[in-house]
Amino acid sequence: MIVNLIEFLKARSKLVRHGGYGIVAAIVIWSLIVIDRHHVHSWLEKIPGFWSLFTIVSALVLVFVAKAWAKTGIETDEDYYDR
Amino acid sequence: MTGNFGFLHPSLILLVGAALLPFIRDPFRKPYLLLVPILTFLDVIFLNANPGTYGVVSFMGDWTLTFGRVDSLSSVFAFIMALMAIIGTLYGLHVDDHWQHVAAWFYVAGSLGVIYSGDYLVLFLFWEMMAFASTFLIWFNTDKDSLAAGYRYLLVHMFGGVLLLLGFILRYQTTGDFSFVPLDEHHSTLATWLIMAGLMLNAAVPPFHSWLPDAYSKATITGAVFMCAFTTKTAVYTLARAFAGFDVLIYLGVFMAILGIIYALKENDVRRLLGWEIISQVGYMVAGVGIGTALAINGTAAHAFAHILYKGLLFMAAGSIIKATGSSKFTDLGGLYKKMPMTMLFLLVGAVSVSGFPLFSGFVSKSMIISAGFEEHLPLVGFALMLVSAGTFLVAGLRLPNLIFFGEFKGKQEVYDKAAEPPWNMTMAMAAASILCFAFGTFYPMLYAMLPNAGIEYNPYSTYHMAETLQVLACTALVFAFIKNRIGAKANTMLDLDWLYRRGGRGFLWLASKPIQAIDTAWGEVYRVVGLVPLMIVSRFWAWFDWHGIDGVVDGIARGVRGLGQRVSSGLQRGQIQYSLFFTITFATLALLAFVWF
Amino acid sequence: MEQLLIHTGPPVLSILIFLPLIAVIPLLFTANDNFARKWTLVVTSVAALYSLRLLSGFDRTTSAFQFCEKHTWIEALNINYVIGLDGISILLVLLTTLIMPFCVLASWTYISKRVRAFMVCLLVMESAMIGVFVALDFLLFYVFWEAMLIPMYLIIGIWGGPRKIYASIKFFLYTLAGSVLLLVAIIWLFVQNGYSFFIPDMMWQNYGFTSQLLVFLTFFLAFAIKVPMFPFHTWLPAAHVEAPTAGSVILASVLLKMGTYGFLRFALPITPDATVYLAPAILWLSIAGIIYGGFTALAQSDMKKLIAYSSVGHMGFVTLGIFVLNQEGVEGSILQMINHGVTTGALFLCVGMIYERTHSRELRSATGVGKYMPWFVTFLTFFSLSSFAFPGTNSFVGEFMILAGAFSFEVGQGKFPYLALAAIPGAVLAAAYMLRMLQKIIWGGTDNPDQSWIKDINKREIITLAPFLLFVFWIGLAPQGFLNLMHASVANLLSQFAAHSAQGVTTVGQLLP
Repeated sequence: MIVNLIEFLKARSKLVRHGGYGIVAAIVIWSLIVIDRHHVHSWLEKIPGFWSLFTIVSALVLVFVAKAWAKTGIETDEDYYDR
Repeated sequence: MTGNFGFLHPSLILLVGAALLPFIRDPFRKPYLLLVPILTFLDVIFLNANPGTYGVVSFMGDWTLTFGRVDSLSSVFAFIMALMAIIGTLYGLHVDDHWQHVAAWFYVAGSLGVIYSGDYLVLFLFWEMMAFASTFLIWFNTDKDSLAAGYRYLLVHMFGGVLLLLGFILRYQTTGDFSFVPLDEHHSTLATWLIMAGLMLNAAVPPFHSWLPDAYSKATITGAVFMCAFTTKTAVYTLARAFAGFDVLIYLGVFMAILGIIYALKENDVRRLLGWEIISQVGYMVAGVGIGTALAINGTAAHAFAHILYKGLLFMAAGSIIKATGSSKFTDLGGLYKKMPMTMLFLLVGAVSVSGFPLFSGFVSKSMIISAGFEEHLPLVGFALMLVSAGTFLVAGLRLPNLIFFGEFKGKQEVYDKAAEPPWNMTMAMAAASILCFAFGTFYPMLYAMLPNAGIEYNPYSTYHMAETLQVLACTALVFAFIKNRIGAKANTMLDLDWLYRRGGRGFLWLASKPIQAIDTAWGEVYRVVGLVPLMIVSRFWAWFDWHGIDGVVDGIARGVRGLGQRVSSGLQRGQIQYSLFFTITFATLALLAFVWF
Repeated sequence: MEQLLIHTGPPVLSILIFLPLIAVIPLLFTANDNFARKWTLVVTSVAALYSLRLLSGFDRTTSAFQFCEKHTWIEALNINYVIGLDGISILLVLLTTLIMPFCVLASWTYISKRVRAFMVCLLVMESAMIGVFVALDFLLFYVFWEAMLIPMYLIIGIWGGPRKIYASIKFFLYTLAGSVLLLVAIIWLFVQNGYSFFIPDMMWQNYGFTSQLLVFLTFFLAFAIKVPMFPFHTWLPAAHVEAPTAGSVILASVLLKMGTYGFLRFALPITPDATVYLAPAILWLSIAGIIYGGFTALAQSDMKKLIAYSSVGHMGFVTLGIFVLNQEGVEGSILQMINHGVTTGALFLCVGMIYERTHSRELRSATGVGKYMPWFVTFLTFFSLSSFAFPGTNSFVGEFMILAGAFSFEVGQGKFPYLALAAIPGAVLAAAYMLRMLQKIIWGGTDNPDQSWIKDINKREIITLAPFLLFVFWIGLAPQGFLNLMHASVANLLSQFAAHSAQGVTTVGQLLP
């Protein structure tokens, strides 16, 4: 049953993609409306759509840092210790 | 307050159960395997309903050992540990080798013992028991790397154990006290730091964290499920008990949370990724302990509770995949949704739980710590942990399932064809854990009622929190959609601090076998050269002297006498008897006359 | 003389010393090997049971010597037969008598040639060993001390391994070399003491500092070789490796303790100032021994050598405990002496059992026997746990007390506890080599030799090992009884020591800024 569901979705991948963007947009807009910006902990959160921006930046920063750290030479073959 | 009902330590049930297991035959074996942890769980529930101090014995005169300190903090941890023991045993029900079950139960017994301990001596006994038992969970894996990994794990934990031992002995020397109680941050001594170091090692706080991904990826499939639940969370309990409010833990916690995500993003081995995830999530808990307020400790306990369930679930799913395909590497997996849909579902439940999706257990626990951070005017801590939340969803909620279940299967075709859902007991265990993740997320007052600090109001389903979380989840997914190929599967690994003792370890062993052994042999040689050789030279001289010198004189006399005797006899002995007789009688008569005369 | 409590009633200690000696006589007239074994077993068991009499008559509240006997021996030189027991020696005597029957049991099938002679050696050894621990006349002590070298030399030299002659001679000469200067010191003390060899009169005499230093150094040489302390330890691996099982057990369990006993009985009371002065050096030497023993043990592939080097490490802890000169340290070290005797003796018995089967001491040939020898590996596991001081076992209590004493010593003087922290690598190394050996023996790897023919330990061997396991847990879980025996004597030793070491303390104070 699950497999069928996934096959169904895979067949309509473009639709799924657009649907996804739609959900993300809906969530961001909903938060803009719903969040009460007067009782937040810090001034940063007063920015509209703060958490969305924060998350996008965070995710990109993490991936970037991971790749940079790996490039410094920390990344090696899996059998490094067996040699 | 000592109990006036018979106090039965839950660990005792597990230990006796383990001792009897080799003697239980089929068909009683499987029911017995489930019965023992269930009884343990019932005992824990009973104890939790009757808080107090039990099992106090005196040892060596003036020391008291407390085996059963039951209060709100220990109760919540003991509850989830005992519950996980049931799920874990169910997951491993198909394992015929009873020693694996014995090791697992000893391990859980150790964990419960630590949680209920009231003093450092009892804690240390169970701590060592945990280390020893869990090493076997690694060694029972017959892969070729597991032997070495088990040794590394054991030695690292022995080292941590010795630090802890020295810490509490030193504390005893200065305070005369063994009791396991909160320590004072402002009067910390060397003993405090030693104890903290020992506890930190088990909690995989950097720099003592490298053992975790190493060990958990090399344990047996069922062993890893046990290990992920118990060692680190028991250590978190001990930190919460003794080190609540120590600021250094806040920074260590945040650091480890970020470190875990970064390494997890590049991992190729499923269980190593999950291991780094553990480090990241335990970072939340350690930071919570460091913040130390009532809300923060509640958050730590809740997060530990939730984490045990969903991490156990994730490891169970990972184990199922390894069992089905024989491989744990992303570069050998992919596209398995067709062959293992149920496992995928359970993995997704675990993944969304760790990511903090509403309606699942992670949502109601993680945010308490973050809120506590903001409330204590530590906005950087709060933001950092939110950053990690984004990363968590990215790594565990998106990357992990994507690389296993979607895309193309990257291994051999026969492996793909043979891949199937795991046996009924493993599926049932995963189902149970999934249901619990959902239940505690949706019916969260059940969880909140068990938290140590009562009376703290917290509503996880506030509009603000929902909006915040959904934004994070949505935008992380958005980012992932675009960059997922950049964090795909690569057959690489990242070096970590364990390089010091792994490469260093090889050097260490070389040091032990070559130079030091050489020194020892050389020292023996010194004795020989300096001692024995001159001794032998001197003695040879005297032997020569003795033979040719002193003895030479004696021999010389003897030879002289013999020579004389020969000449005399050749002169005197004519061979004719009459002459001999004549000389003999003459000689005798002369001698007699001489005797008589003088 | 008031330190002696002359014993009325049957002379327990003399009986214990001479019974084994007298029991040699029937062995000289029999040609039957089986009779020799059984007779020796009976005699040693009787001696063991009789020695328990010492426990019942022992007064735990006094530090005076008990069960004393005094007879004149060589009147012209004032050498007397004076023996006695106090809290420090009682456990060592009991260790000796109780371990002997098990040495006989372990040699039951191990020794197949010249069995009578072997049993004679064991009995003579027993007499000499008990004599060492109870002698209160210094020359009598020296006689027994030297006397026990001969049977040990024979045990190694006749029934030992391939390099037995080399090992036995090395053992004999090495130990003798250390004792030679001891005789000089004894005679000097004889003269100082009004021409008497009586040991209690020599204690706490406030001899001149330089004299004390010299006497201490002679004591140190003799006893440090016996312990063995680094760097005087090199005889030990050779001796242990080549000796037969019973020889190794006696060597490890009893002979090594004579060195540390010597420190407690002679060095501390007779030369307290020198002890205080040299204690820091000896403490660091002990740490060196702990770590060195750990390293070398890790590198071994010969099981007996591994355990031999581990003894260097364990005895390092014992000397550490003695020279921190406080109640916990000294009591911990005496307890640890007993613990080491029990645990290491048991480990040598285990290795001997493997050797009887595989005829090799190499770890390589013993890998993977776990499947076929479950009883054996159960015993071996517990003894290994005890060896690296796992909580609940006997060694944990001893090591704990020694570390507590070490902390007291340093922190009490306001110093950073370097010593105790320096012991960390030793503890970790101990776990490393023991668990490596255990893991290899039980499971091994993928290239184990075929062990399916191996038989598990039989009843005799189980009976040999079981009492050791009993003591591992008895001392580990209920050590109070054992500690009570030594408490009064140790307390007295330390209080006298504090009172009489003023000279040493000021000298040390002057030298250290």
